[in-house]
Amino acid sequence: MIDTFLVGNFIFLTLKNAVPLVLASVGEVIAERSGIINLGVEGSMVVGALVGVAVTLMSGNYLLGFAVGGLAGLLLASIHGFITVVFGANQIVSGIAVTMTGLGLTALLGRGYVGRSLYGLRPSPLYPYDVGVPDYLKPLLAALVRHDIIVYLSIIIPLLATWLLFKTKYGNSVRACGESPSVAESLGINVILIRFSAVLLGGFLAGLGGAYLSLGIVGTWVENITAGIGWIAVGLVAFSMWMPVRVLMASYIMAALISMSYILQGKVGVSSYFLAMIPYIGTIMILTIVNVERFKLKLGAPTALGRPYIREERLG
Amino acid sequence: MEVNQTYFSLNTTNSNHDYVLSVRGVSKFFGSITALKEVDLDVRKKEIHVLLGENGAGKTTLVNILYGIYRPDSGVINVFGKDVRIGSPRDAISYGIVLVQQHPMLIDKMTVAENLSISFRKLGYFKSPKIIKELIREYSSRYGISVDVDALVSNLSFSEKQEVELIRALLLDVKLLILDEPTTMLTSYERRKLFSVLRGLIDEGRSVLLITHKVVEALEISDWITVLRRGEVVASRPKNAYSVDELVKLVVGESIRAEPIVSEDFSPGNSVRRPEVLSVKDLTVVNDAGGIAVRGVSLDINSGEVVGIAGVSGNGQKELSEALAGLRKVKGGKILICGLDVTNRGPGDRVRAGFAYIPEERLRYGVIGEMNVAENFMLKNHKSFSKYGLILEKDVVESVEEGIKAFNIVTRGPSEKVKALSGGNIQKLIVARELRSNPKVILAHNPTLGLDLKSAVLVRELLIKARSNGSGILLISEDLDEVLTLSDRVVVMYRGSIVYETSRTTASRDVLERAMLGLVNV
Ligand SMILES: Nc1ncnc2c1ncn2[C@@H]1O[C@H](COP(=O)(O)OP(=O)(O)OP(=O)(O)O)[C@@H](O)[C@H]1O
Ligand SMILES: [Mg+2]
Repeated sequence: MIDTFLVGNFIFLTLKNAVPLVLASVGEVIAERSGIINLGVEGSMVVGALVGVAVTLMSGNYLLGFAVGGLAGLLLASIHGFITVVFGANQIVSGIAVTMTGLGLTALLGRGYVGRSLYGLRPSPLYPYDVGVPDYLKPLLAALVRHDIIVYLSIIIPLLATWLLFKTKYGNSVRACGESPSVAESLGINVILIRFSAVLLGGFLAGLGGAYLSLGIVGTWVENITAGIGWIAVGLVAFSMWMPVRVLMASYIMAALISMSYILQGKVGVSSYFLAMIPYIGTIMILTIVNVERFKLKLGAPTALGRPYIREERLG
Repeated sequence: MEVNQTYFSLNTTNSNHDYVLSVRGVSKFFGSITALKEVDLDVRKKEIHVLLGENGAGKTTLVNILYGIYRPDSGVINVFGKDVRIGSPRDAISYGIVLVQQHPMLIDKMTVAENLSISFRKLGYFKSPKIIKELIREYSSRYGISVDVDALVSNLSFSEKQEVELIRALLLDVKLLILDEPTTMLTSYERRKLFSVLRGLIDEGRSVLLITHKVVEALEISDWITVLRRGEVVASRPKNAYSVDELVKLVVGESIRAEPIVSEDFSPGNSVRRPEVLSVKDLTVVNDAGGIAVRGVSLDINSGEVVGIAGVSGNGQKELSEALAGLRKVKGGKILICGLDVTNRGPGDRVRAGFAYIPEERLRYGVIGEMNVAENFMLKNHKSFSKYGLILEKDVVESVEEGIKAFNIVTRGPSEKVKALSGGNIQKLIVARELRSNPKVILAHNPTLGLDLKSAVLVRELLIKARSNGSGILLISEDLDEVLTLSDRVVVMYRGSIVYETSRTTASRDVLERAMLGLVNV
């Protein structure tokens, strides 16, 4: 007989742990579709996590904390936007600098919040009762229904992003900027505006992901709370071939791996060293793809990914 | 649309002229190069205005300024009687100006409808582009243009892409349509179709500014011709005020021969048997989509002979030339250069065997845009320019400067980046480089495409000279006249096969044209 409690727990954790990954990755898909690679995702997440905690403690409203956490991520991403979109500087260097800034800033400003519990202010399950179900199935049902609203939101967001990218004029414009900014410009698009907005949107989603990490999963603020999750999110983008719905699936696989290591702690399972390594593998992968033209083509990456757009250059 | 019209008529009332566009004293410098110097230009309502000039005259620069891609360094631009600042293509579009560039400016990975939706200003950002499909259908039937709204742009032919751009201009309710050398890549049928669409636009009260370097074409289509030479306007008059000879003189600045010189020993079917330099046996090549593009082509080219391949573009010429150059895998058959089997070897081995290539896609295969003129010039001749693996800077510069002079290449000098050169000048640079090493075999694919008359004559002369020096030349060209003037033997390619072969002396234009359409069999 299967241990339904264990399986239920595993599913429950997987769905929850996937939320920060889904949000941040989908955000990065949007930014990269516009041609801008943002390695500041980790930074936006960690800032979102701290601001989320701070605002929730102050206001007593976790939804407000969640939203303002997103805005904080957006604000940090705007630095990357100015450096890379407006001034056309190197995207890799800028992104790493932004992440460093986010990590450093939160370590400094977050001291007063370390360990302050959010008990009672955390998102609560939408449907807390599992009535009318045989006992042994309860853990399985609970794993699916006893989540807070944000978990369900995180499933809808990739669908929304797909609609945005492929079914609206805004999305077409974003993709055009990622394929060829000079053609996009000639078609009448304001390339700077579109790219900048895509980076901001990406930062906002990363900030939300970070806020859920502290509010929904950890339940408090700790320094360097993201521990590389932002880097994994960036890696998932290429793994999902820049498709939001695939991001959802890839995030579940990743989250399952992480949840497994919690559940099987001490017993056999994935080595924690291996998990700690994943962010770096993801980063190396991304850098390889961006720099090797051939990989870019094969994976269906946006053609102009990572290339700054500077006007008044000769066009072909 | 209604709103726009009143907007424009309001402004024209302030002006005493019927000018749609009026440019005064526009100059543009790229570093030390003067691309445009104090240019004046007036385009009237319902006028087809041709901007005529040779390679590097500044035509593209001027229209790029009008479309907001470049900023002028000085001068005033007046649209419908109002001085305007055109800071981006969006600005230009809002004044009713749309540019169709030399290379189609569309996103290849997206569909026609998606491309057009981005461009369509009246569509809200979060609206579905679906709405636009109906509009596209309506416009295309009204102007007699047929486009498949759901087709991926990368699957369209050049002229189809151009048609999409025309529809785009119409959706934007263009008042002044600018076309940069629109006919270069068109067949004569497609060209006629384009011209009839343009006349339709004029009848509706729109204006057209069309760029070309072909004098005959300018006289055929225009109402008014402005001639640009080395960045300056040298004449601007109604078409009828020019004679052909005068116009040619104005364009090039001196009178030239229209036909290339044909050296005395140009006697086809020479009695002397010359060695074979290129031998192609039963060659089969597939295209990008996996279909057979070249089927069982066999060809032999002797030293000192030009073989011309005529044909309508898209009948396997591109795949054939890429396969011969080692840029595309061969599915079956053999390629021998001077007896050496190079079928499955890379371009490097071919170069060592004495193979030179003047490609059609210049920027892709011919030069490295980011590198400068000198670096590009010695790309294939590293050996002769280096000692112990070090580059002999002085030798390079000297011989590049020689090349620049001999070929009349308009450039700031050996250290200028190649991507800053005009299209025609890039081609001259490639020809100069390829012919320098006295190759045994030369593959020239549309070698004069986009070149002005003077440069085209120069390139043709050089090919004939190479032939006299013993090179065997395979000329693939869509320009039947070019094939007929240069070739000892002419073959016609149709649907990937050689369907007709004749010698220069017995060639009849009529039969060749029929063969090109697949109406004659060997
Ligand atoms: N972005 C640029 N940077 C530097 N030089 C440039 C740039 N664009 C154009 N030029 C120079 O300005 C001059 C005019 O070029 P332009 O492309 O306007 O010529 P064109 O008349 O369109 O010629 P073609 O018929 O060959 O297309 C050339 O000497 C060219 O090298
Ligand atoms: Mg030009």
